[in-house]
Amino acid sequence: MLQFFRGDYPETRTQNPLDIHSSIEISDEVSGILKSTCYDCHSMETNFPWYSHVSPISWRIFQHIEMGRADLNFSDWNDLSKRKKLGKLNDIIEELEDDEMPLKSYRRFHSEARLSEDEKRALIIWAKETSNDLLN
Amino acid sequence: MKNYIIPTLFTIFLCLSSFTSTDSVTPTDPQEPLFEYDQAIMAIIENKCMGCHNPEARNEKAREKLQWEKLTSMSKAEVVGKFDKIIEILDEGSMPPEKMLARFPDKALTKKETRMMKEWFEVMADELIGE
Repeated sequence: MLQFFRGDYPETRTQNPLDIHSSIEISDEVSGILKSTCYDCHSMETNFPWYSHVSPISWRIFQHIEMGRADLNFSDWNDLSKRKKLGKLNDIIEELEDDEMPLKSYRRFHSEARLSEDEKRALIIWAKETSNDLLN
Repeated sequence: MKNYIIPTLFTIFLCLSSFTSTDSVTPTDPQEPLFEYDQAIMAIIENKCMGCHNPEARNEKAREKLQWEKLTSMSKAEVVGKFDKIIEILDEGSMPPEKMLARFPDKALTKKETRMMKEWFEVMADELIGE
């Protein structure tokens, strides 16, 4: 019965001209981490796993995606003001340093999102360098 | 002999220079603060925010997220990032937290204080960005 109430799938788009990759050069390493670890919740390019079609799990996943995109959406990066971009980059740094992101529940089901210390460090360095570049 | 005179004189010159120069003994000047708080804004911060956002605060999360005194010595990028977050929180009206206001309702930011702080942080952020 519950399967009749899966919830509305969040919109996805494959063409995102305002995506962060279109405005700044990102190394293959960092781009790979962003896409495998962050993009499911923080972009319009979400990949839905098989269990996202099963309610009530689907409700939780859709909620995470909606909230994730509201907080940070890499697909709409170029729509942000410089101040907002700096704010988001600061958030990325803090969330990684506090081990708040990626979400623990996401890491449980996505082994590729379990960042090594080196990967975390690479992301943080990237965020700091990108922040400084915005002001130069 | 001639081949050694000039390098020797140069070396002596360098040694004498190092004794007379004060550069190596003078400590580097402390970094200029990136900005200064407006007096009226500081008064609001001290009254409504500093209780949790100071180095001695018991609330670890508040201490780690923001310490007003440290902001002036952070990098420009960090400061603008923090200012953006402060503006977002002022817009949401989520600070001070509900739990605190339940005990200390007088710590709530008034509409005027919220507006003053938001305007000031917006202007300061723009100035730092150079816009």
